[in-house]
This record gives sequence, structure tokens and C-alpha cells, in this order.
Amino acid sequence: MTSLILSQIVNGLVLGFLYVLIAIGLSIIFGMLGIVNFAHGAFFALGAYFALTLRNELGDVWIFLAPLCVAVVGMGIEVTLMRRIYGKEPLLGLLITFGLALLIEEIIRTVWGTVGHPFNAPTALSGFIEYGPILVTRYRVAVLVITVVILFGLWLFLRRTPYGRIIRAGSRDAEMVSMLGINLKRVFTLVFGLGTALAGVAGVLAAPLWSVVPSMSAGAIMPAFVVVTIGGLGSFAGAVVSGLLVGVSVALTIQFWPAAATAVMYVLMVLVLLVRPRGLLGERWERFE
Amino acid sequence: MSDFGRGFRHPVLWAAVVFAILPFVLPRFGSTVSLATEIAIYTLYGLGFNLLLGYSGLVSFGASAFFGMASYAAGLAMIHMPGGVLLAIVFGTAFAALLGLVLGLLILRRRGIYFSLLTLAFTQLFYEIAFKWTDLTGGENGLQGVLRPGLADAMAYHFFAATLIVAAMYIYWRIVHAPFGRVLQAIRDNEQRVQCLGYDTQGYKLGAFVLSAAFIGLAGSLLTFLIQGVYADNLSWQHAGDPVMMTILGGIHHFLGPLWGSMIYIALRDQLSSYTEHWWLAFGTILIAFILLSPEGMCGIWSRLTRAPRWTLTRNEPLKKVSGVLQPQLRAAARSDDGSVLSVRGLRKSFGSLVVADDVRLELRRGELHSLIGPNGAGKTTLFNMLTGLIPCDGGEIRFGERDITRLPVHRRITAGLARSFQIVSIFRDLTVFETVRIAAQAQSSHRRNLWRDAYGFADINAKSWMLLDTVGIADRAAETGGSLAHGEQRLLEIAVALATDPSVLLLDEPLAGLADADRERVARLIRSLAGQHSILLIEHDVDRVLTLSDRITVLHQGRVIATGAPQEIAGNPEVVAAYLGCPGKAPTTPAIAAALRTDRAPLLTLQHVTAGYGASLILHGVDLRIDDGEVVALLGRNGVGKTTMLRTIMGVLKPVSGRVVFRGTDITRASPDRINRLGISIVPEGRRIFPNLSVQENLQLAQRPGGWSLDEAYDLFPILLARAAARGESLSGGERQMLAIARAMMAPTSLILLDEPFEGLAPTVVAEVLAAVMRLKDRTSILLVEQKVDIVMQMANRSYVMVNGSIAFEGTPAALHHDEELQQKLLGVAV
Repeated sequence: MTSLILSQIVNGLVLGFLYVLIAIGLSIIFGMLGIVNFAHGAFFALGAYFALTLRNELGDVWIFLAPLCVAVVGMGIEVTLMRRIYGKEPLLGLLITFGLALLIEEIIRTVWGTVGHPFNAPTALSGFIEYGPILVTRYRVAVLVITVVILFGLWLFLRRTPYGRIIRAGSRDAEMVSMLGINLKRVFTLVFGLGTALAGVAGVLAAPLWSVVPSMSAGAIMPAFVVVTIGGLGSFAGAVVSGLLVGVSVALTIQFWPAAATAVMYVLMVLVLLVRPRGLLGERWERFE
Repeated sequence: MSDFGRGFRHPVLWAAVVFAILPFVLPRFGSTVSLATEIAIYTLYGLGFNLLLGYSGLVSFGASAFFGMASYAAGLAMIHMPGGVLLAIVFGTAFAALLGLVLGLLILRRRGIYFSLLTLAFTQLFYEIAFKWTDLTGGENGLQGVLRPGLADAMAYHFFAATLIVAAMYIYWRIVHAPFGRVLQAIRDNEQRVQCLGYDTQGYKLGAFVLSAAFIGLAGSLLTFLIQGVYADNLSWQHAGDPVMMTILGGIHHFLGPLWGSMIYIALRDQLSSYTEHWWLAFGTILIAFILLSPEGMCGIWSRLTRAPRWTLTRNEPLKKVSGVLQPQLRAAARSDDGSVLSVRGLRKSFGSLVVADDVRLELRRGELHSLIGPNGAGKTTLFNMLTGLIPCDGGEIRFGERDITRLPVHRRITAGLARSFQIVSIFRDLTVFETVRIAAQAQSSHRRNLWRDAYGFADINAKSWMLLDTVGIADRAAETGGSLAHGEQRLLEIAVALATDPSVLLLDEPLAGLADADRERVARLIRSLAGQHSILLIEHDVDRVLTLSDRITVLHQGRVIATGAPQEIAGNPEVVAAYLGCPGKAPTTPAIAAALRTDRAPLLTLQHVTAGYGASLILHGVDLRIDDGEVVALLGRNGVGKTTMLRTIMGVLKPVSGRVVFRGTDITRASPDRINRLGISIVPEGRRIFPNLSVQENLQLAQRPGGWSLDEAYDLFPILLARAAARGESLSGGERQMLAIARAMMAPTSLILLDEPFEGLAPTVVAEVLAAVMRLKDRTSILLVEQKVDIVMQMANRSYVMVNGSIAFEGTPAALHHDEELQQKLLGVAV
């Protein structure tokens, strides 16, 4: 029994870190651009589908291009669509990304078909690993390691580099940043690209774990919202803590009460928001309240 | 227009006609009668949703939750309980309303994006429940075989449903025209203001939420009987956007918007899906195009074509004027033993490291006109915010008469007899002037929660509104929307609104700011005449006027009361003089005055006849200004004349309506702020605006570019910044923030630095330090200094401008200004 629970917890951590990866992209876009990106799940799905095509056409190694392709699409959308709604009513941003989400999903259906595609983990990563009572697949361990490395790299980027500084400052006062001589338009485009690329990476990593179907976007966007709101808008540490919390909760619930597995994260979200309205580690941002 | 004529154009009648015709028209295009019913149902769905969005300004994704839950309730009722179709529909509607009550109580505590996300979470939660609780809901397969005895025929059901829907629409029409519905629109535009009129806004929002749920519930129940089954589909997150999209397509600011939206949505879906299974591609593109190009939807396009520019959420009222002069109906102000109607003791408040109120003690006596003065940043508006309850205090006590109101919510304080006007005009942008005052006048009426009667049918409230408009003198603008008024008119509206609640105590926050001289006189006299009957606490910057108007004066400086007493005492108080004018102990007769520079220097920055503002409210009127290379130029003027607007225009944040801004021969009128900064203009803005989540060092590093200061140079000029290099911006004191802001501006190569009141709110010792630093800047860059402290300006500036109401009223050397006391009085309201 303990072995089961522990193994599930590890699975939960893997799931959790994937959620964190998606949520951080959402949070960065939210913080800097002030846009709730409903289409974030669609970019996640695009990552998986691009990886599928790249692998089938060019070979295993080219999977790494997939997040880049997603970023290019994201930046293209930012330049053509998003730019027109900055500074307007927040509702418009919500609606445009909502419409975009459904549109992209429909495009995926048209190009790749409605049937799910199998996506196997690379053979080098197949099989199980045993650590004492814990039994977990090699691929999952790989995902865990990769996501932690990426998140750490992202943290370093935000904390130590000039660009990261701009992003952090811009999340609080974008106008002041532009008055200091920084071209915001370009920054916004790159931030949107970064956020969507993160979703794309998560999509590539998740492809062998979940099936590659057009509706996989819903499986990404809703947990991302939950994680971001529980953790607190704009908080890196908050997203990590809440992502892991949600991941582990879902994994354990899948084991013991499967029907309630997806519902449990919403219950968590409701509870946290009622008790701590700004999330566990969120700060007070007037423009979001 | 006769009553019959008006009735003929009634929107609900139109809807009824459309519903009657549709089932006959649609089959000719290959559709069915059921589709017509579906359109009617979705119209009601959209209307219910729009009660929250278009009328109350709440973005809720919970509509589909109520829609789906009511469908299930009605279906289950029909299957498990005897009683017929109508009973099941009633059950479904009631269930949705109850659910709305429960959810509303939970969710409405949160605002903005959190509110919206919570509604989405609940929708998903209900979806999961409906999908997984197979025993009750049929799970994936849903409920099937819901019978429709007596209404089996599609046409019969259509007219049954349409009748119910039209009846519901009529009730909806009554609600939005009733006092309750009118308040919702005001809440949408400015909730805080509505609270400050004495309305319990939470109650209104909850009411709207429940009503919205009920209308949507009725629609959901009707859908169950239309398709004779219930499916979990409608609760999925993809369908959460259905009512949103339909309403946007039709027009969220129009009563019949949802009707047109649902027709388009359903008809398109029906037609397109018969051509291709990827019809969403076309639809999604259309939707996005609408959002970008016509956010007001189809109705928006229609009103643009027919030149009817206004929203049609409610009937556009023809206004009938009633004349008269305001006789204030007053509540007798409760008085405490010491004769004060409002008293404050030991009040404390800090924002992080910034202390804004430090043991404040204040007493307002019955019938007096008591002014509150102090330099910018002294904490006056914050004090008002604490008195009205908009922000909580950290400690201390506020008494209204005998009553302790320290913990009382905002609307209760207003009901008790307090009223307030705002420093930054706080009115309803999209409501007419008349409606604005009427809402305020309605606040104390017993009818304010009425759901049925026409709000414009209360003669006494109407009469009072007209009288208020007459009193302040904007009755001729009654039909204009608040957002289209000129600044001065908005100020007058502010006052009318403050008077409308029959207060015994008035808190007026800079009511004269931005007014032309003649208006100032009039409003000042109005205020004076109000004292006696009312007790007034007044914040004003026009010190001279304050000295003549007031019975007593309290002076606030850096959050502390430094003097209280009769005007004569205050005028002679040395501490007060020092606080206002800057440097203590300076003999005013022999200031060191900087000499004017030679006039043949190259012009650095010129403004040519610049006019700028925000929307209809123009702040700058034809301003001409010049700064030469190496000069220090001062821009003086009272609060509200447009000094900060000027700086924002130069910096490119605000684009002028007309005129040119030229820097070193380059036209920067339309340039973006970052380009302007790269050309060499830096700004230290109002409020400092350092980044609170970055450390001091990071703040500096962010701004650094080759050619500007290095970190060492910055630390050299401001040693305190070195000591605090690792501290987060939000933990810095006022003086430290100011120094950081100045250093940050210099980290990039700068030939002109714009300083917006750099000494505001600083302690005298800190002022000296900052002043020394700014003086050292003179060698490296030209300076445009916006200030109120004339004394400092005279030490530093080669030339000064004085602005009055958006134009330049004086240009010359500080010496010339210094010698002309009458001019100083006129322009600045204070003589040095």
C-alpha cells in the first residue's frame, strides 16, 4: 500500500511539474501583457502535434524544434492580433484568446484529423526504475529532470539577466519601463513567444503520457488556471508550490477515487480562493482586482 | 411621441414579433421550427447573461453552469416527480436561482479577474459532477426521454416557450428600468462611487447574480423540453463562452443585442455545419474579426449607420425639466458632548515603509467650514479615504457625533450623513449627467431597491435632481454622458452628487481644482453658503482663498498635524510657512536667485501651441514653451492646472491633439516614450514609480545604458543607495525612493531631465539632501522642474513659467516673479 502511495506521489510530482511549466508561461504572459491567455492550452497541443510531425518527417532528434515552432506561431499571433487589444477592456483580451483557443483546436482537427495519434517515448527511456518502494517509469523520471532543469533555468533568467529584469519590472509598471528607453512592443512579442514556447515544451513532454488528441488542450488550460490562481498571479514560487500540490492531489485521487480526479483541483481552487483571495503567495495587484 | 407610438417601438414587442415569424420563415431555408425555438431560448440565455455583463460589468463564466444545472433540474423533476411541464420548468428556474444565491454569496466577495476565474472553476466543477455522477445524471449519455405531454407538436411547443420567454423579457425590461436596475449600471461604471453614495453594492451585485441565474435557469429548463433530454455538453468549458460570444456578436450594450447575437450564432452554425464539419474555422474567424473591428457588435454597426450613437440598454429618456432652488432637507447632525460632529483621534496608517498618517487628531464642529491644508503628499486625501472607510486605518478612532464609525462599512457611513467629493473626478462615464445626479438623489429613498416601478416615475427624486443641477449650474448639459463633459463641468457634477444624499457632513477634496477663475468664485461662494447648514471639511490648495473662507484650519505635513486654529494663527505660524515653502529658517527677503542665462543659446526643447488632454477633457490649451541648452527651467502652478500632463505629453505617453513638440530639431510629437528617452529625455515622474519588486541595484541596472551614469557614479551622488543596494523597492522610505528615481533617470544618457515635484512630501532634512543632488545635476544636463515650492525654484531656475488652467500665464525670470507679489497671489494663490 505504501509503495503504491509513494509511487503515485512521484507520478503526482511529475504531473505537477508539467502543470508548473504550463502555468508559468501563462503567468508570465498574464503579468507582463495583462492578458488571460485562454489559448494557452491550444499552444500546448500544438507543441505535441508539431513534435509528432517533426518526428514522423525528420526523425527523433528534431522534436526539439517543436517548441520553437510554437513560439513562432505565438509571436505571429501577438503581432497580428494581441497588439490591437492592449490597453483596451480586459474582456476583449479574454474573448479573443477564447475564440483563438477554439479556432486553433479546430485547425488541429482539420490538419491532423480528429483521431488520436500514438506517441511513444524514445526507446532509450522506456522501462521502469525501482527506488526502494517506489516504482516509476524511466520516461517519467526523465520528464521530472527536464522540467526541473528548465524551471531552474527560467528562474535564473528572470533573476539574473537584464531581460529577466525587464520582464519583472514590466509586470508591475510597463509604462515606466518604456519611459526608461525600452521598446515595449518587442518585449511583449518576445514574452508572448516565451510563454507559448513553455507551453509547447510541456506539450512535447506530455505527448507520450497523455494521448495526442485535439482535445488535449482542455487538459492543459484548466489545470493551468487552477495552478495560477491557487499559487497567486505573478508569483513564480507560488506557481511551483501550487503546481506540485495540484499534481500530487490529482495523482492520489486517480488512484483512490478515479471519478473525482479532475474535480478535485477545482475544489482546491475554490477553497484556496475563498480563504486567501490572492492565492497562497500572490501579491496585491490593483489592476487585477 | 405619444404613448402608443412609444409602445409600438418597444423592444419586447419586436422580439415577440420576431419569435412569431421565425418558425414560419426558417423552414423555407431548410431549417426547422425547433431551431426557431432554440433561437428564442438562447435569446433569453443571452439576456440573463447580459444582466451581469452589459448592465453590471461583471464578467462571469458561470452562465453555462446555471443553464446546465437548470436543464438537469427540470429534466429530473419531469422524470421523478409528477406535475407536468410547467411545474418542472418552475422547479428548474427556482433551482437555478437558489444555486445563484449560494454561489453568489461565495464568489462575489472577490472582484475582477479572480471573480471571473472562480465562476469558470465552478462551471468546470459542475461539469465534472454532471459527467461523472452517472446514477443521477446519466453521465456521458445524459438524460433521455423527457416527455412533453400536451406540447408534443413542435409548433405548439414553440409558441408555449416563446410566450414564457416574452413574458420573462418584459419582467427583465421592468427590472432594468427600475431603481434597482439603474444602480447596476452605475456600479458597472464606478462601484466605489456608488458605495460612497450609501448603496450596499454587494447586495445589488448579489441580486443581479441571482436574477441572472433565474433568467438563465428558465432558458435551460425550456431547452430540456425542446430537445426532450439533457446532456452534459453545455456545461463544458468550451460552451461557457457561448452566451459571451452571442452577446458580443449582437452587442453587449444594447437591450436586444442577445436576440440578434443568438440568431446569427444559431443560424450560422446551422447553415455552415451542413457544408463542412469544420464550420468553426469560419465562425471563429468571424468572431475574432468582430471583436477587433466592432466590439459593440451588430447593434454597434447599426447605430453607427443610423447615427444613433447611444447605447440602448435602457430607453433613451426625453428629459422634462422642473425648475426651483434647492432647499436642502437635512438630517439633524448628531452632536457629541464637545460639539463636534466628526472627530478623529490617534489615527495611524502606513503603506509598508511609507507613513501616511501619524497620530492624527482632528475635530469638525457643527456648522463650521474647516479647511485641511498641507503640501502635496501630506496625506490629506488618504485621511479622507479613511474617514469614508475606503481604506482601513492601522489604529485610532473616528467618531461621527457620538457614534464610533471606525469599523463601519462605507455605505453605512454615508447613510449616517457623511458625503464626499473626490479629488480626481469620480463620476459615471457612460451615464447621463441627469442620471448621475438622480442615482445619487435616489440613494436615501425607500424605493432604491425597487425592482418593478420605473425609476423615472418618482417625481420627488426627479425634482430634486433638477434642483441640484440648477444649483451647480449644469442643467443645460443634463443629457450628455459624464465622459463627454469638460473638466470644469465634471467638477460641478461632483459637487452636485455630493450634495444629493442630504449629508450633514461634507468632505470636499479639492473641489476647485482645474476650474476657471469665474467658476472658482462661484463654487467658493456656494461652499460658503452651504456651511452653517452643513459642516464642511475642505481640502484646498488655494491657500489665500482658504484663509478667507474658513472658520478654522488644520495643517497636515507628512502625515502629522502641525497646527490647528483660526486662519490668522495659521498664517503666521512659522512651522506652517516652512512646510509649504521648503527651506526652514530662510529669510524670505533675500533669497539667492539664479541669474538668467544669455539668450542666444540653442533651443533644446520647444513646445509649439500644444493642446492635449484625456478624451473630451482637454487639459492643455495651446501651450508654448522653450528650454535652451544648459538651462534650468521651472514650471509653477497650482494643483490641477496641467503640469504633470505637460510632462507626460513631452515624454510621449500622452499624444497631443494639436501642436508640435520638437527636441534638438527632431519632431517628437508622435514618438513613443522609449524613442524619446533614447533621444535624451529622462523623467522622474509623479509618484516616483520605482519598481517595488526589484532591488535598488536592479532598478538602476534596468535603466543603465552606455553614456549614462555607472553604478559607482550613482552611489557616489547618493550614498544612501549604496547602503540599501539590496533592499527591495517597496521597503524604501519616501526620500530614498526619490533619490533612487533621480539616479535611475540619469543612468541613461540624458540631455534633459523632467522632474515632477521632486521634493513633494519629504522631510526638510531630506529636502536639503535631494536639493543638493539636483543642484549637482545642473552641470550635466538641462532641467525642467515642476514645483510648487517657489523658494526652491528661485534658487535653481534660470527662467520660470507659471501655468494657469492649462495655458502659460507668465514667463520670465524668477526675480521678476519674486518682485511682483500681486502676480504671485493671482497665479499661485500664495505669496512668498
